[in-house]
Amino acid sequence: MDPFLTSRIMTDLLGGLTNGVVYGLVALSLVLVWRSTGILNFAQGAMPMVATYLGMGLLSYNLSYWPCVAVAIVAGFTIGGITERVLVRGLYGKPEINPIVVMVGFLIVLEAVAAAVWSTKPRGLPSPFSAIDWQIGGKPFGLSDFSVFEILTAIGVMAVIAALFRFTKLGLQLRASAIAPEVSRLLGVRVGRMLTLGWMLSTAVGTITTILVASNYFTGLTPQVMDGVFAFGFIAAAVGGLDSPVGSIVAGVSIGIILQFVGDYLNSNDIILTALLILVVSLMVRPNGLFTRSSARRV
Amino acid sequence: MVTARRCRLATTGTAILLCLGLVTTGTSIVTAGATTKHAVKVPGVTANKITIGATVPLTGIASAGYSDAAKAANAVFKYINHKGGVFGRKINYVQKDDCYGTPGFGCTGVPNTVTQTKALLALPVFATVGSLGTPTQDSVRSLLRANKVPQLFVNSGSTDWNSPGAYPSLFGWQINYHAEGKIFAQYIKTTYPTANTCFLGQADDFGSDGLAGILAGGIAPSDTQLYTVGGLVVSGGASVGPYVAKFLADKCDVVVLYTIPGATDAVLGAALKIGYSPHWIISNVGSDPVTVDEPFAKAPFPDPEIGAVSFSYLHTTTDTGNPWLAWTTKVLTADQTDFPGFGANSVITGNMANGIGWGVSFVEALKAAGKNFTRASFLNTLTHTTFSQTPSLTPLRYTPGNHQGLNGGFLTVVKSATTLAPINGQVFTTDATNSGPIKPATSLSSGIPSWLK
Repeated sequence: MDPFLTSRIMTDLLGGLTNGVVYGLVALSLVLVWRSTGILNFAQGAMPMVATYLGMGLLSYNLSYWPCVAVAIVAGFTIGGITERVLVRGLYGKPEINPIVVMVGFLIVLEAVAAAVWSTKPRGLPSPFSAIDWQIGGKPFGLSDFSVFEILTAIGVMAVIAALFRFTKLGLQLRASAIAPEVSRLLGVRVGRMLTLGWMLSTAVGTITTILVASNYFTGLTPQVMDGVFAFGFIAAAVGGLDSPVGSIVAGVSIGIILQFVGDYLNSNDIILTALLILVVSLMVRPNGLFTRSSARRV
Repeated sequence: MVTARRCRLATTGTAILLCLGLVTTGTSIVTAGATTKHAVKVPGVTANKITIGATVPLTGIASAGYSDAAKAANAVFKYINHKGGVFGRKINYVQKDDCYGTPGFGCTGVPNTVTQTKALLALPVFATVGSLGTPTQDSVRSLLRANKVPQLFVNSGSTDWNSPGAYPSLFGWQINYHAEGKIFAQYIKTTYPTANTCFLGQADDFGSDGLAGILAGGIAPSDTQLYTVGGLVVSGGASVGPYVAKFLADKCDVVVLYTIPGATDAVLGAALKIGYSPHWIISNVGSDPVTVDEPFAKAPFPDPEIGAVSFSYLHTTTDTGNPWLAWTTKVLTADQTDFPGFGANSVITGNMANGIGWGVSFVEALKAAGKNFTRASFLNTLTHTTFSQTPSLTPLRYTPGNHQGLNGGFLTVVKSATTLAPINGQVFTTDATNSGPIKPATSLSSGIPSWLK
């Protein structure tokens, strides 16, 4: 049994799964914004990055890890809410290129401001759990305490979001506002508030993801920490279907695993190429995404 | 309708993603080759000012550590300016961020090296001094040649800067990667004669020059891997993981790295993760302990770079008898704009020392060129003078047929998260030819010119 557990295939599978849940979380945060407001948020990596700096920056003031995480998540909620109210509110109903241009601009501004305030030097964040891989019989097994924590956190976040949408009145209002704002408004749902909430949730999920990405010693926190992860998360969201939380997660995990195998068996320089290939092929074959059920809602 | 809109959006989104990631976003709005319209004879030079420039990574993956080099050189210029300048001319140093030529992921919105170089040409500048990077400076050497702008002291150890025939006003400064690789190979042969050596380098002339040096020195790596900067940026460093896993599987005892610090971090992190600890040998430009330690600073384990072997063409900070050390501290302390809080007990990083080195070289060359100089006379002085009072270990000497710059240095070992120390202090010199012997240095640089103190 041991040789199989530490085999190349198993290590790649587990490594890919760990990366994949992160891509899945980014995709999920994109889907949350898309479903609630119909906007592709290109600043989806940068907004949580700022929240992470605000929260985890308190480590320098001798606050311990978990309170900093809590502050960062609250900052994420706040930044998401303010962005929707101030920047995004005026973009509804405008040509679809408008919000894309605005959000790409916002991404540039946020990264520049973060670099000016916190510098581009990587900041090592303490990892709450060891990021060193477990060893079985003297050979690395593709999981560490921290990667297990990453996977469990991702499952936890997904479960909370799913429960919110499925089983709560708030979730129903969120879904109703996104699908039929006029009808919802007539029925007494405060649609504007729901849209803000969608952005708040999305940025908070993004902040948890950013903390996971930056808390592993090997990369640290930089203003650009989420750029690459965002790209893979975006691809996962597009492949899985921008409408489908489940699709985004499945696609995120699948892409994580596929890219890990490509990196190991082909060459890691081929990772981006493969990711873009997956995106292009999936848009050609199933432009709505693998999991979306949009045709049922055709109007 | 919904479907159509989603299709359009997904397509638009894909297009933007492609633009952000793969296409160089900067477009030039200034005209290349803008020559001076000022009433001065020498572009960039007036009676009381000389304007020079550089493209440097102030953002993005290569900015870690490297962003300090040009700032340190500028601290030298500010120090000289404060003393009245060189022949009454103050040095105006314009640094343009090029994000190591990888706009898009990692530095959305930052123009590329070509665009930024054109912006410098439009100022105009007398020369570019200390622009950073092998692929980046390769991309503008023809542009600078066409505009007759000297490209001085390129901050890279590539052998590309030594082609006086094709690029008569292009000059390197630090010892080249090929020579460094030969000296590494000699060290591996004597220290680990039976070791299985493997190699990871950057997939451009940085990595291939280093590999050529290792091969020329008589070491044939059993596993050779090259990473692309693009892959490194997009994956946040994770793209090097598979190479490290392969080195472990191939039982490499010695791993030579020709990596930028961001990639060094990623390699050391990936190795740590899988419990792999070979003897690391890391090129000078990727080994600065302070820079490499940054992501590991809060980790509950020692800096994984400790014990790694590197190479230096400058004195280490452990050499307290070196007069340049105190001078460097004085110059950096005087520049509280770029080095806020720098003081007597602050650490001088390898990148700061590098910037101080070529900053001083430029000032010394300017002094040697005299009060009335042209681009041609400046370059003539540069190729006919030996600068023997420099912060480098060996004197700086160019000739009309050799534009490489420094040719010597010693092996170092990472002692702590902030310090490198010489292994035995023996300074070797060699050249970038395969057959050029490695010899103990016959002359060393010494002292500070009194006018600079």
